Amino acid sequence: MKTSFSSLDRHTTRTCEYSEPDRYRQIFTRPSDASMIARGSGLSYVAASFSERATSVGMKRFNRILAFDRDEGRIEVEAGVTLGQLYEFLTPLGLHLPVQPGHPQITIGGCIAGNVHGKNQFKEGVFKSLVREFRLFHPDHGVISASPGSNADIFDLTCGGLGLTGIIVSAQLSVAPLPGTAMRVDHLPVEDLDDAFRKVNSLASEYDMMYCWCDLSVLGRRAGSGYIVTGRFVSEDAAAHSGRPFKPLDPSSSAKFRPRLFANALIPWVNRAYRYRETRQSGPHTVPLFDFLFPAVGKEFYFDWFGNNGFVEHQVLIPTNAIEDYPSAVMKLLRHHGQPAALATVKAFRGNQHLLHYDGAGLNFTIDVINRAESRDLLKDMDDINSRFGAITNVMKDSRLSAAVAERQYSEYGEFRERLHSFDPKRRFTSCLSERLGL
Amino acid sequence: MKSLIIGASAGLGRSLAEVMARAGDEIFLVSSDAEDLAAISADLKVRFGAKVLYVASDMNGEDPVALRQKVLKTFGAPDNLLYVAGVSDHDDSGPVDDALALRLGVVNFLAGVRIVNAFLPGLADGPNANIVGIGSVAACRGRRNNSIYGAAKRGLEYYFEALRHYLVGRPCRVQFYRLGYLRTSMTFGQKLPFPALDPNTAAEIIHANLGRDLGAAYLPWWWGGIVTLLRMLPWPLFKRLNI
Repeated sequence: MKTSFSSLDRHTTRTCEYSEPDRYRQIFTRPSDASMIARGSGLSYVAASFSERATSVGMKRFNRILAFDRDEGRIEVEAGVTLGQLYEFLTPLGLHLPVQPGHPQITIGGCIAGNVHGKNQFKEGVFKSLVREFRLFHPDHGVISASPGSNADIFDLTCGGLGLTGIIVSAQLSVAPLPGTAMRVDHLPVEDLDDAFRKVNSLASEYDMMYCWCDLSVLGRRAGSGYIVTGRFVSEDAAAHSGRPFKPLDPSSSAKFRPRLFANALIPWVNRAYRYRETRQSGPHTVPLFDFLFPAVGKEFYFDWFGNNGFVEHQVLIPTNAIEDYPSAVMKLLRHHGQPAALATVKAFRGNQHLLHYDGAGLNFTIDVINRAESRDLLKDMDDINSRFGAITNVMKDSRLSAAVAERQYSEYGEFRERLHSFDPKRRFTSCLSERLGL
Repeated sequence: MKSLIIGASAGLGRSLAEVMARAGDEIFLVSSDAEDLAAISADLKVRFGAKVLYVASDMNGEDPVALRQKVLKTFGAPDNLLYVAGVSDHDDSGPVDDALALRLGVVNFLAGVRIVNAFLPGLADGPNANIVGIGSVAACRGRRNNSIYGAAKRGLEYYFEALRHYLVGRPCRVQFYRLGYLRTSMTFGQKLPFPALDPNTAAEIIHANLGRDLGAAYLPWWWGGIVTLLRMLPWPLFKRLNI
């Protein structure tokens, strides 16, 4: 059936063919000449799960736990299982997935395809580190099991492969003992963006999880001031174990009223109110693990307040050798363009860059700006300084990133493209994202 | 309790399996899709520690006596038999392919009758026994669409009423649900004139009603009003409806 889909940032909206199988045979007997792309909860910031040229195959009914071995720390799930479902199952058993992005509605298939990160990338790495094996369906190859030891090339290409190698049917994941059922949270002030970069880089190893919120809604002398949110696992009573009901995110809903409240004049006030709300509790305090892991829960309005045109999330990974000079360069650019950011965060990263994976060593810097011409001019200039500093832009976050910029920033862009075409010469799996990136 | 669910690989059957496993029932699942049954069975075992057995079997060619023997041998005598299997097709209007006509008739009616018939001797005097059939509001009046499906479901409803009559004075309860729209693959992508019920909600209601001398009921209940109106509609008006 024809359905209208929007990316989470509402930058991209398309009317596409959609099917929602509920039996394996409905996946495995898909016509081999048709283009398609898997779709989980549809919460990617970019249009990774739909295209006018492809049928989106909804995987939400494939949400079963297939095997669990507590002694081995292994769980096998279907691709449509959500982080929230796994949280409900694993937390009472004293276990968790050490890498989790910020919303419980996100599916495991999406986590693998995006090779996502959480608030502890500097300790636990990216999602690929949890994946032991998966089953992948491709009409020309059938059902393939891939792991680091078997079909390693397909494993490598699929983790962070943006869903372009096939439909991930199920996956075996490593689970780890949960060090605590709550987080002891503290807020450490930062003076400006320079201070934020310095402190996040030096303090990361001391905490279990950490991110920094910066106020870039005003671009005066103290632009970038804010606080680092630090978290250490602590044990709490059993009541803290459980998740809580949450309002599902549905960026594709056309029935929803989305007043555009984020305007230049209002963004600073929203940021002030947010800072007050988050820091009113002085000193260290305990937060339920669910709330810390999934901070977007309860703040769903944020995505709607940009109106129907949405926003752009620009997320870059700045290499360690550039983190001293980057803040002043980016501040100069922000002031030149005079565009406030509705959100700005900094996180620490440790790892190695590979293919189109958003991974490496350095600092992760994110800003959300209103989707309009002035902001896009700013981001275009930021693309240039990012390339100059050797930074990479997260292709799963930035809806306007061009193929040329991605190719310039990712040294293995060409290799990814070549390997993808070699595995799937007819390029059956396609999305707006892959088409924009020239994949 | 031991429950045998026929047609358990998706939709309402899958939801019933989950509701019953959560409630602590032992379950035997039957459906044509072996891989889906394996996945459901694994999930219910992992999440609820439930005892779940299954056998892949196509209702179109199932030998009910062989199925009964298989169930009795591996699972024991069931307390509940739920016939949830059903199949519809967009081409079910006017002259249809003979194989499709046979399939619609068998899965929606004849297989249900044969399976209930095979298990009836064990269930009739079971102190906690329930036989549950799933029909459809599509069977309320003969229409150009879903004609064989509707006819088969009406036949099944007739059989369940006859069964209830036969079992008067005996402990086994017979229940028949005339289902409205459910959010399953059967209704996926269709523009429906009335809201569709979540299959999990329907399963909760059916499970809660086990043991009641319910007879036939609409699910959700308000479909009763719509069906009554449709039945009262005189032919000159009814024939103009494109339903």
